[in-house]
Parts: sequence; C-alpha cells; structure tokens
Amino acid sequence: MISPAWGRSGTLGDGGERLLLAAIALYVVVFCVLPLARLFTEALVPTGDSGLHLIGQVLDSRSAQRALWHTVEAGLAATAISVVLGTAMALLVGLTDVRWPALIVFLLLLPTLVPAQITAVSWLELLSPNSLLLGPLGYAPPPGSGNPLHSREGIVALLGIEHATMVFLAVRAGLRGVPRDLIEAARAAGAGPPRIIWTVVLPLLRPSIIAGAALAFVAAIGNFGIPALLGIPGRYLMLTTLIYQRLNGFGPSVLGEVATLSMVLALLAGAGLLVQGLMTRGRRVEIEGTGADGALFGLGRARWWIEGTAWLTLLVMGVLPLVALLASSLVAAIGVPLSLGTVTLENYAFAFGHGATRRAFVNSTLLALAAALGTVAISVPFAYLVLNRRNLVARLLNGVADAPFALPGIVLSIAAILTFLPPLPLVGVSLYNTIWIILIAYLGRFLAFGLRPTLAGLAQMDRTLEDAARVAGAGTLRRLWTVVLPHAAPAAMAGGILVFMGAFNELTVSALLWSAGNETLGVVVFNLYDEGNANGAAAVAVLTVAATLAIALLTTLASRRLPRGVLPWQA
Amino acid sequence: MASLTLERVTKTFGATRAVDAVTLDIASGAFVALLGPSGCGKTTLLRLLAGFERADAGSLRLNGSVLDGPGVHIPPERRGLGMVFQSYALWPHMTVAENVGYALRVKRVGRAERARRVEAALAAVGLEGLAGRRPAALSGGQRQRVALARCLAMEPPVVLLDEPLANLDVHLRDTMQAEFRRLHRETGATMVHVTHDQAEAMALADRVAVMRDGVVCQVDTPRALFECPADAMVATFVGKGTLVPVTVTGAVPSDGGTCQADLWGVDIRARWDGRARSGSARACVRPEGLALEPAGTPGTVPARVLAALYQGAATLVTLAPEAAPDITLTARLTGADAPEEGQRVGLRVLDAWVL
Ligand SMILES: Nc1ncnc2c1ncn2[C@@H]1O[C@H](COP(=O)(O)OP(=O)(O)O)[C@@H](O)[C@H]1O
Ligand SMILES: [Mg+2]
Repeated sequence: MISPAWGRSGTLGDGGERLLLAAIALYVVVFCVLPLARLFTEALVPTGDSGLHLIGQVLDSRSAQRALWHTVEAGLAATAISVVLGTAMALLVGLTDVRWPALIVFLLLLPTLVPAQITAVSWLELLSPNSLLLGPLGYAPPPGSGNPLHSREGIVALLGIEHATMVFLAVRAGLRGVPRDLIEAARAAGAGPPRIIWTVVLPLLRPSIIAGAALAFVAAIGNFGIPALLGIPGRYLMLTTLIYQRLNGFGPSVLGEVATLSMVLALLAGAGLLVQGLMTRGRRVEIEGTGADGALFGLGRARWWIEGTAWLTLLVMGVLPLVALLASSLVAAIGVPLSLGTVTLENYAFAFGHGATRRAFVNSTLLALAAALGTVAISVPFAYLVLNRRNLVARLLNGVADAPFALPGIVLSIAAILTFLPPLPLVGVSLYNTIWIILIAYLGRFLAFGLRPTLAGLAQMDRTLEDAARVAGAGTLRRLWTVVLPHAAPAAMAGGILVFMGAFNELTVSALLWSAGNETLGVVVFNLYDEGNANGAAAVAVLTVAATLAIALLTTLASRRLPRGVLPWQA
Repeated sequence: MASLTLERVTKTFGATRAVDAVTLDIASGAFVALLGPSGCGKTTLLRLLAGFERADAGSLRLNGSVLDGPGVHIPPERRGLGMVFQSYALWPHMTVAENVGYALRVKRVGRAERARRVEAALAAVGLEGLAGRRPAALSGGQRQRVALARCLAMEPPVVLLDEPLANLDVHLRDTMQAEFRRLHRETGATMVHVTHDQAEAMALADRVAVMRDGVVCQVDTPRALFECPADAMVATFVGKGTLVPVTVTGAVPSDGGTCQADLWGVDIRARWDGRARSGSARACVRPEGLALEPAGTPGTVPARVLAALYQGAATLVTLAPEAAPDITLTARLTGADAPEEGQRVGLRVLDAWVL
C-alpha cells in the first residue's frame, strides 16, 4: 500500500533520506538487479544470436532434458524425506515432553552450519568401502565395490537430510500459531495424541508444512556440493552439475547455453518460492491465548521407544558423518585403519603447508569479512527505510534483495560472469578471473541474509524513540546515527556474523568464479577430494567446521543481548 | 507564546476517518485538553499537530504561518514543538543528561550553555542529581519527569502531551497533574494534553475539547462542559449524565436561564440556554441532581430501586422510572439511608439541563 503522504511535496523526507535511498538503490541494482537482468536477457536473446532458437536447442539436448528430469525427480524425493524428518522432529520437540529438546534442536540445525560439500565428504567417508567407522564393525561395503552414495538414492537421501531443517523451522513456527485450545478441546473430546496429531494438528499445520517443503525443494534443486561430489562420479547429473560441467569443460563460449540452463533452474526455484509465498501470505494471524508450543503430550510408556528412535536418527544424521570425517583427517592415506598407532596430524600439516589451501584460508576469511562488513553497512539504513518511513522504493528494493539469496547460487554465479566478464565501462578491465567477482557475487547473494536479522531486530524498536528525535529537530542522518544505529547494532552484528559464516563455507557461487590464486575453502575441499586426497580434504573440512561451530557458539552465548528472532537457529 | 489554528483538518486511514474536519483555535498560552474515549482520534490529532501525520484536507497554522495544508507540510524536525510521549520514548542508550540535552545538541547549542539548560530543566522537574543515570535505572515517575525535562529543555512554544499520565499509578498522577499546572504557569507554553480521563482533563485544562469518532463535539471550560453539555455524547461522556425525554412547556418569566418542563407527567424545572424551543427535547440529569423521597410525594417521579452501591462517602442508587422502565437513572445520595432493592420511591429532579 502506498503511504498516503507519498508523492506529495514536503513529505519525501530530507536530503539525508534521499541520499540513503540513492546509496541503497545503487547497491541493490549493481549487486542484485543488474546481474539477474543480464542473465534473463542472455537466456532470451543470447549475445551474437538474434532469435530464441538457442532455448529450443538447449532444451532439445538429451543431456539437458535428463538433467532437468533428475533435478525434478531428486528434488521432489529429497523434499519428501525432509518433510517427514522435519515434521516429525518439530512435533516431537514442540508438542511432547521429550527430554533435552535443546540438544535435539542443535543436532537438527547442525546441517545448516556444516556446508553441503563437507556433508557430502563426511558421508562419503562414512559409507566408503574403506570406512574407518563401519569397516571394523564389518558393515562397510565390500572392497572394490563403489561407494553406494554415488547414486540417485544417495543424492536424494543426503539432500533430504540436509534440508530437513527448513521444514523443521517452518513447522515449529507454525505450531506456535496453532491455538492450544484446539488441541485441548480434542483431548477433552476423548481423542488420544496420535489421533489429535492426525486430525487436528497436521491439518492446521498444512500451510506451514507446504511452505517448509517448498523451501526444502528450492534448496535441494539449487544444491551443488552434494550432487557434485556424489552425482558426477555416479553419472547422475542435475541442472547445477550440468552447468558446472559445461562451463568447466568449454569455458565462456558456452555462456549462452548455461545461461539458458540457469534460467530453467531459476524458474523451477521460482515456482517453489511462489508456493511458499502463497502458503505464508496473510498467515500472520494473531492467535488468541497461547500457541501450541509446549509439552502438551506426555510420551508416557512410549518414551523409550520414541526417544530411542529420535536419538538414533539424529546420531546417524548429524554426528556419525562428522566423526567419520574427523577419523579420515587423522590417518595418513585411504585404506590405513585408524588406531592409536596410525593417528597422525600429517593432513593438518598439509593443510597449512599446501599453497592453494593456505591461500584459500586467507581468501575465504577476507571475502567473508568484506561481505559481512558491506552487508552490515547497507543493512542498517536499508532496514530503517523499509520499516520506519513506509518508503515505497525501499520496500520494493527489499523485495528485490531477496532474489539472489532465494535463487540457487549457481544461477547468481552465471549472472555474475555474464555481467562482469566484459571489461568494466570507463576502467576497461574485466573482473573475471579476479577475486573481486567473487566478492561482488557474495555481496548480492548474502544481502538478504544480513538484512533479515537487521529488519527483525529493528522492527522491535519502539517507533516513538525516533519520533522523539524528530521532535527534537534531528534530521534523517542524525537520527539514523544517534538513535537507530544503537538499536539496530546487535541485530546487524548478528546478521554480519551469519553472512560471515555463510560466505566462509560457501562453494556453490565460488565453484564457477574461482581462478588460480583465488581459491576459496569450499573450492579447496572439493578439489582435494576430487583429486583423490580424501584425507587432506577431511582435514581442511574439519578445520572449517570447527571454525564455524566456534563462531556459532560464541554468537549463541552472546545472544542474550540480541533481540528475539534474530538468530535463525533460535527462531 | 504561540497559537495553533486548525481549519477543517481531516485524516483518514483507509475507511476510518480518524480526524474528521476538526476546526479548533488554541490560544497562545492556553492549556487545552483533548478528551474522548479510546479510538476517537486524539492521538492522530496530536500527531497531526506534531507533523508525524499529514492532513488529507484542511490546514494547520502556528502563529498564522501554515504548518500543514495544501502543498505544504513542515516535517516534525522543523516545527520546534515539544512533545511528551505516552511511552516516554526515552533513548535507553543515552544517560538522562544526554536525553535531555539531545535537542540542544541538534541545535548546536554550546557545551556550557547546554549543560546549564539541561541542569535547569532537570531542576524544574525535581530530578537534580540523576543526570548520569540511564533510563533503565529510573522509576516510572522519574522517567515521566525526564521525558518532561527533555521537552522543556527545548523551551518549545507549544508542548504536546499524549496521555502522559496513563502509565502512572493514581498517587503519582495527582502529583504530576500539579507539576503540569505549575510548569504551564512558569513556562507560559501553550499546552495540548491528550487524555481519555475526564477528571484529569477537568483538573488540568483551561479548555477541554471533547472528541468522538474523529469529530470535536464541544470546546469549553471544564465547568461549562459539565453544566451545559452541547450534545448527547458530551452529556453522557462527561459526569455520567443520563438523557431523559422532556417536553418544554415554557420559559420561567423571572429567570432566562430556566424553563418549565414535563418529565413523564411530572412538572420540573430545568436549565436551558433559551435557544432551545418549546416542545419535545432531551434533558441531561446527573447523579448529583437527583434526590429520593418516599413514594407518592407530589412533584416526584415514581421509580423502582434496581441496586444500591455503597461507596463510602456516598451511595449510588440505580433506578428505573415506572413510566419508562428501560431507562436507568443513577442518584448519588450522601448521608441518607440507602433504600432496599426493589423498593418503590419518588425521584425528585433538583437539576437538569435541556439540550
Ligand atoms: N497508522 C494508522 N493506520 C490505520 N489506522 C489508524 C492509524 N492510526 C490510528 N488509526 C485509527 O484511527 C482511529 C483513531 O485512532 P487514535 O488517534 O489512536 O485514537 P485515540 O488516541 O483517541 O485512542 C482508530 O480507529 C485507529 O484504529
Ligand atoms: Mg491514543
């Protein structure tokens, strides 16, 4: 809705506000709008081509059709797994008196902290014929047989587990919106917990479940680490991996073709996001009384059975693969059994000595830092304009800022290549093959990631605090600096940390944008594993996971000083 | 010294006419209360004065110069008005002194002068010695005073107050009312005070503007408002008046302010403004203007007692007149024995006002 005062003289705000708006618009246009618009035009009207026939050509190719089918098939199957796992866990934690719910939530959120390529490496290590954990137990696949994860089923399983968290968070939030009375009324009517869940809770949760499922689907089809490490050797290509292979094999000459493939992927993701949007629209109804989040049902005699199943699932899902990863990082070579005598820190020494790996630590840290700082700097004024002035332009930009984060990362990489491969106007240098193109892509990709916590935090600020500053005569920039910034700072910091963690672990975007000397940690883990140095890859992965978990832990400890709803894993 | 002039100021939110063609003159140095039930548009009107909202129609002037009108809207930061918020809106990350001195800083008042004025403002509200505290370390009453001091430090020509006492307990409220009156006297600022509490409005203001559904129904002194309400809404909202149907039978020759009227067949005397014509009308009666006598006393209205509510200094008796049992009248009795529930009594009208 347009604010009634908008567009009439004297209400556009002062010069400071216009300055802010211009800066934000520039940021969003350069990092978000321009690349995606470029991708769109390239896919429809490729450079040096006058018609739409490339689309037809690309979609006619067997490999593209197969990849599209694989993407849909694996995406849907993985979503089914995510829905079952995520919903079951949300009901368990949200409705029953299960013990140690906080630990369960932490284990469920682990996949969001561990990047996909590391999840993939961990699972591959766990289930390989040389598995250090399953081997001694006699459960490892027979030597000489392939890794069972190099298959469609392997990809589906891992994608399903990886994105169960999204369904879990959506359903958990949905539960808080289900009036407790409705469940208690069903109890009073004599229904037992299973019947209540089936006839009352699940029907009421359906929009939340569908919204969570749509997000999980979008994430699954956009995932790169898992289908790359599992599917390329397993000859099961999805759209992401097909794009990667084509561009890696043939270079920028196939940009038109991969742009078309990216558009197809973006459209699939767009369909998912549309479903999610429809399901969450207008759902923010205030419920009367309390929501159904609390120990409504006692587990009773089923406790051991249910808790046992839950812990086993969580252990297998989240903990075992990481243990396998750790084990692999501690032996010298594939096939060496793990024992006190064979434990070695050689791989860690390698990680610090190997040129590309050392560079990657520096590159990823600097890139993540720069992305975090840039995002924080723009997020505070951005959130302020979106919230406080009901500024139409700012709200429009806010909607656009979501796109690079919501769409698959590989789509953004292609968009960035298309936009920044040609020499920049005025300066005449190309950013392709430099670290700057990665930073630009990160600034676009992670803007929403940093902006959302800032919006959530600032939304809780009492608006009259700013009104009071206006009455005192302060202009926009002064109010922003003296009143808004101190309130937004904790949430913006949290947003910055999230951006840092996301960028530090990132592979999907940098997989296509890196160049010799400009490697990222994600790229190094991927390449090391690809070259057959699984143990070196494991060591680097362990180090990045440890760094990420340490940051997450510190942030959580500091979260008492944060506004509610800022950290996604505490939502 | 500053006067405010509102001319047919209107503000709509979607389908809601929050402020509907309000015309109001606020004289320089006046203490005006905006009184009305919750949701009647008081806050919106105050925010229009402050500049946070923009009028859809009409105009607002300060000392004759337009603040808000067709093609003009001076933003709040350039109006120089003082405002005290219902939530106090103290900046939690600043000390009391920083809060109070903020506007002076914005105006680039020198350090020494600023310190002096901050100190003076804090002294004016009796908060010397708390300059270094943070708002979180203050009690509700102290926060209220800081908010007031922050507003006074600007030395504003007009002070806008939005239900400033609503969050205080009863005892503090009385103290702060006295403070407001004193500060009004000392500063000479024009004050516009929003409240839904009629006792507060009556106690504080020289003039009270009663609002309903975005419309200002009557602007008058507290006494005139109570004794001569202009319409049914004011009559019932202020002083718990009840409306009864009367037939005016003629003026009382010796007294231009009084008329002869018929109430359910009983001849009564009522005040009127003379403009009201003879015939059917409505009159406002208040608990203080009714007395009980034994049933059947000549000149009294037969009624039945519904309930008697003992309140210490007085007893509130609710009654249904036998001629119109669906009307409920309330009489306030002091001293006398309370009647029984269901008892038949004679109701004497001592005072009534013909609308
Ligand atoms: N920003 C707004 N948007 C929509 N409606 C509003 C807004 N502010 C006030 N209103 C509506 O205008 C009417 C008057 O509100 P308000 O001025 O706050 O009343 P009061 O202060 O007398 O309680 C109410 O019906 C309220 O719901
Ligand atoms: Mg109000």
